[in-house]
Amino acid sequence: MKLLTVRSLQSKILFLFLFLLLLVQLVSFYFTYRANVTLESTQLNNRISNASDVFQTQFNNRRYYLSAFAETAAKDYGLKSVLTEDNKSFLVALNNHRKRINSDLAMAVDPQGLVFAQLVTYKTKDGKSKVRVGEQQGKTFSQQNALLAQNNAQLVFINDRLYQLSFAPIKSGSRIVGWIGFGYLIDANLANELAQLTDVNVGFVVFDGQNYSVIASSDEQNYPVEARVYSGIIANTEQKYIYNRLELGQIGNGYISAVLFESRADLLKNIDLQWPKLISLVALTVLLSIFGAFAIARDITQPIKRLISQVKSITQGNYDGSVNVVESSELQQLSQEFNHMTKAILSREETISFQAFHDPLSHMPNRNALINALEKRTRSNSDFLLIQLCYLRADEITDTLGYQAGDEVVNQVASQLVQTEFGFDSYHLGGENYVLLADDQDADTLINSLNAVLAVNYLIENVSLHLQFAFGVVISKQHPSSAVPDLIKRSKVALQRAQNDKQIYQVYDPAFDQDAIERLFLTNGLKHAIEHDELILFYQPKLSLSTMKVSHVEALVRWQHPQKGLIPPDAFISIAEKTGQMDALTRWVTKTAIEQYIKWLKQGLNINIAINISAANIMDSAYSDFVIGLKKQHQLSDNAITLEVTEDAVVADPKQATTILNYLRNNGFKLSIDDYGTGYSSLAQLKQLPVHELKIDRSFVQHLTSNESDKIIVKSTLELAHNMNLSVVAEGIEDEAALLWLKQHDCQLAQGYFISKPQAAADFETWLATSDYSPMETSS
Amino acid sequence: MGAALQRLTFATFGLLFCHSLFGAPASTLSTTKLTIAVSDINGQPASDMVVYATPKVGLNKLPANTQQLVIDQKDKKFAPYVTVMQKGQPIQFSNKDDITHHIYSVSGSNRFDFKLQAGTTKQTQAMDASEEVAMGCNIHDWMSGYALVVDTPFYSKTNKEGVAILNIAPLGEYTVTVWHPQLDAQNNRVSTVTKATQLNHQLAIKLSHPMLPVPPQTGQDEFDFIEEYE
Repeated sequence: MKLLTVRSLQSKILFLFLFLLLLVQLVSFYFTYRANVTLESTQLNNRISNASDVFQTQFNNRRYYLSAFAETAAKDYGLKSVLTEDNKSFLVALNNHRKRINSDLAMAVDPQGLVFAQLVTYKTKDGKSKVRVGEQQGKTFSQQNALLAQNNAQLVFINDRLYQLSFAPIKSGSRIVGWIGFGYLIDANLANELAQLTDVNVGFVVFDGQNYSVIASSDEQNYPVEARVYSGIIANTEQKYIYNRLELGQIGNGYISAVLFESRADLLKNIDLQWPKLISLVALTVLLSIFGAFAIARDITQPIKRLISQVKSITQGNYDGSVNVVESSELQQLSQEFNHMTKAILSREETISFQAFHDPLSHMPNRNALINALEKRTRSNSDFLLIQLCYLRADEITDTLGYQAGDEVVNQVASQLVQTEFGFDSYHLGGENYVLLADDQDADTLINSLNAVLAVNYLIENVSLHLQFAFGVVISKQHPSSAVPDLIKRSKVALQRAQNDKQIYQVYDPAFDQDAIERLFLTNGLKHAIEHDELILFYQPKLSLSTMKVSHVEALVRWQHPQKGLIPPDAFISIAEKTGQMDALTRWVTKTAIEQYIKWLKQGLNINIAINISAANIMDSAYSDFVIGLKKQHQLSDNAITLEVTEDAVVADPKQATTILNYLRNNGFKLSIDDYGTGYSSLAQLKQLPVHELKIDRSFVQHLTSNESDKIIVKSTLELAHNMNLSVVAEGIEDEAALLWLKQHDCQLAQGYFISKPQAAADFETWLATSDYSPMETSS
Repeated sequence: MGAALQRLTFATFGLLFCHSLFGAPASTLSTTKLTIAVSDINGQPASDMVVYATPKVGLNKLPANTQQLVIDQKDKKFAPYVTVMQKGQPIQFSNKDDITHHIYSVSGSNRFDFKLQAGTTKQTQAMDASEEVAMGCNIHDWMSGYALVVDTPFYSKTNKEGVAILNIAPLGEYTVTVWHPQLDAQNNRVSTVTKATQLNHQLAIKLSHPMLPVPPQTGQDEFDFIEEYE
């Protein structure tokens, strides 16, 4: 099975070669073998054929020899002259002639057919050849008619011995006075003699019409006369022999044949003799071919192996080597392509590597590079400053001037960073975020210098932009054995803190992390809080300065957390904004506030409740429809609810804001601009807005009594509002002087700690019951 | 052979005709001319046939025919090929050739053999047995001749017309025999009995047996050198 799953090319080639080779060997061996067999067969057939010719010639010669001799002897006058002498004389004369040709039989027959002389040879026990009078002497010669008429030698059985016998007439003049005949035995001796001459086995067989019997065989050891081999040969059923049968003559109904044959086994024996030679030849060829095939296979696979080793070395990141294969043009081409590929890979890898460690836009080292550098720094235990910085209002720039300009800003800041010579490494985290890595030094000095360099005017698409920067600093020695990602994260936290606190920079404090965790905690819990009424509304009263009674309240949301207690809105409003829960939060507040309004109304307390709605709430009509629906559902009177919108929310999209605000106003809601004075709303915009009141930001009111410029602002705002037919609310009143000053300047509503802090509904009711500002007293 | 014998027929119409013409037979010692016409199986005259007549009675009283039989050896042949003679006479051989012959006969009782040089003559002993004498030459195998030794003095050979004339006496009953070595009948002969009662007695014998071919007495035509010795 191992062989069947050979995978190596070298082995495959080797096996293919060997297979083809063995196939060729087998085919050639087969044909050689067949050719040998055919050749041997042909040769044997030829030999048998030649042997047959030789045999025929020999046999005919004998026949002719016998008849010629009989003829000659018959004409011998010496013999003739003793023909009618006494029998003994004739027999001696006859034997005299017999001995001349050494025939095995000599006989004489008179015209009446009487055998008057017969001599036959026989072997004595000691092997000597002797002659005696034959048994037929004095008897009538039975076959005379058939035999005597022929002058050729015939085959005849005499006393169960087969003779080739020839008669010749003894004549007196032309008168036949008797016959004389001479014969040779057809026996094993003859067979041997002829076998020696012809070089094939010779047998004499007689067929009596039904059975074959063998008279003599040249090789009685291997082919005894009783052997079935003859009948097989004669019946042509013996495939193991090549043979030829020669009919020698008729005897009675049958005939006598000579069989010349050779065993195919003997033939195969001859072929077998070549087996070892053949096998050793095949083995030698196979051996040489194995070496040849091995060499060829190795020749083919050697360059491939070199390519493989080159591939391995590239896999290990070693691009230095090149491979050159000259064995064949295809492989040479392959190796060249391979080298090209190596170079291409190297080039691409450099690109990828560059891209991996550089920002695609600014081409500054990126976060990966920063991580590497940080790791290097932490490993070497050298102290350093990690400063993350960004420029503010990046989104605004992109939104206003487009992405291309945004990218341009990124690049200009980047080049500005790179060009500074404060000896730090700069990295670009993407967008407006950059990181600097500087040796340990005084952070304050560095950042002030840096900010001076960076906070310049940038000319972007012919627009001069003044960028503000914020920095988050991590001082490494304050964070021994901190992980690199933690350091980066802390710099980000510090940066965010700086942004939130509207500071230029902030050095990271571990407390920040606590805040961050809390934020995360609140983020996860807010949704649950909205859905399960963990939120409660606090109400801060607004004092109507004309009556000095409470006529309005502002609903302010608080989170009554089961574990953490009361959480101020600053902690979770921004979370709600960022997690898209602002709408749900506002709706909860709206719904709760309206329920409270109805509750108070039933108690005979008609107090307008102001609800803060966000920018998102005036960007589409969904919230408007919701709050209008509620108003209709509870059949609230107009101006029962005030909706406070921050100035910022209106500034973002004044046209849409105007549409929504009109929609609300038309449905009987009182509208108020919150935090007025902090935004950038122009008077033109303000003029367009369908609002009823302005709410002056607390920053102008808190220090009203001591700050003259605040007074000017508030006073002019009041005048402006009154001129535009808007009422004014001042919040952040912390002392009586301010309250009185506002009352004096015709401000409509006042709100602040001096009047009351925000309180839960029940507390508010209690406060109101005892307060001088209570509207109930007046009514009662 | 036996069957062939039965086919022998005798044509004796001539004899019957004479008998009715001349009336009673003569019983005197006067010589009678017996004319025998022999025709072969095809009715053609058979020539060179030995014909002899043997009286039924009184053979021993007849005088011997002492006519000398001479057989020549000429052109390496026996000439004549077939002869006839009465018992008790010798045969004389006369070599007319220029070469030596070795004449012999090995069959039967009348055996002889001798060499006969060119131009010489030699006589055998008297032939004592009335039988065929088959002669050959031991030097020239092809030479062949026959002499028939008969008891009776009345014998002859047919001429080209197949006719032989025997002068017989006395009148009486005779056995007439036709013989030839190649006549394919028993003992190469056929016989018939006839009564010779008048002076001219004619007998026609039609052979019902075929004639075998007469062996040609030639054999050395290929020898050119013989002429060089002449």
